[in-house]
Amino acid sequence: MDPSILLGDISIQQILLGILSAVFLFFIVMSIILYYHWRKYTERASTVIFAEFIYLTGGAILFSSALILIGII
Amino acid sequence: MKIVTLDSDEKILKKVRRHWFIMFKATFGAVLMAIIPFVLWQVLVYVDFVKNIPLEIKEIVLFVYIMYLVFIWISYFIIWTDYYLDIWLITNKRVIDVEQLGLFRREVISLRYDRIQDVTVITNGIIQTVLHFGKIHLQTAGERRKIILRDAPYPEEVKRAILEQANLFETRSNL
Repeated sequence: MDPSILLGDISIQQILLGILSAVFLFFIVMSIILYYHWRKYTERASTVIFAEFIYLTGGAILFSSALILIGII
Repeated sequence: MKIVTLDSDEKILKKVRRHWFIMFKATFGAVLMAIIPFVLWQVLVYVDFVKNIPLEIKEIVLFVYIMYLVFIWISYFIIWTDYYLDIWLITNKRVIDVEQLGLFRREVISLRYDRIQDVTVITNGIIQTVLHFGKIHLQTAGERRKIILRDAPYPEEVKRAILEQANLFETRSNL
C-alpha cells in the first residue's frame, strides 16, 4: 500500500479493507441462508455436496484475491 | 424424505425437476455478467484510455471488479438453490409440487389423484420442442385450482406417469 494515497486520515487500504469486511459479512450471512436450505430441504445428495464445495472454493478464491490485492496496493 | 412428509405406505415413483436448459441459461447469463466489465476494460486498454491512469487506481478498479464477482457468485447460487429445490414428486397416492420462490418463500401443494381432472402439456417454441421440455398443467376438479410445473423435461412422459397412477388409484378405489 502506498501510504501517500490518503483520503483525510484514512488510507485507501483501510477503506478497501472496510468494504471487503462488509462484503465478507454479507457473504457469510448468505452462506448461512443457503446452507440452511441445502441441509433442510435436500437429502445431501452428491449434487448438493458438490455445489457446497464449489460455492466455498469460489468464495475463498475471490476473497483471497481481494486480500492479496489490498496487501499489494 | 426431507422435502415432504410421506404417508407410511406412500412411495415416490418419479421425481421431476426443471429442465437443465433453465440452469444453462442462468449460467450463461452469470458468465456474461462476469466477463462484460473485463471486456470493457480490455476495450479501454485497446483504445489507450487507461494508459495514463495510475497503477493504484487500476488496482482499485480490480478490487471493485472482484467484489462485483462475489455478488454474481452469490446470486448464481441463489438461482441454483431456487432451481434445485423446485421439484415435483409423483407418488402412488398423489402429486406433490414443491416450489421454492426466492429464499424465504416455499410452497408445497399436494394433489390426490381423485381430484385431478385434467393434465395438459404445453410445449412452446423451438428450444422447448428440440430439447423436449415444457409446461404441465394439472387441473383439479371442484375448486378450479391448477398446479403448474414449468420447464418439465419430457412432459409427455410425466403426463403419462400421472395418468397411469390416476387410473391405478381409481381402480384401487373401486375395488
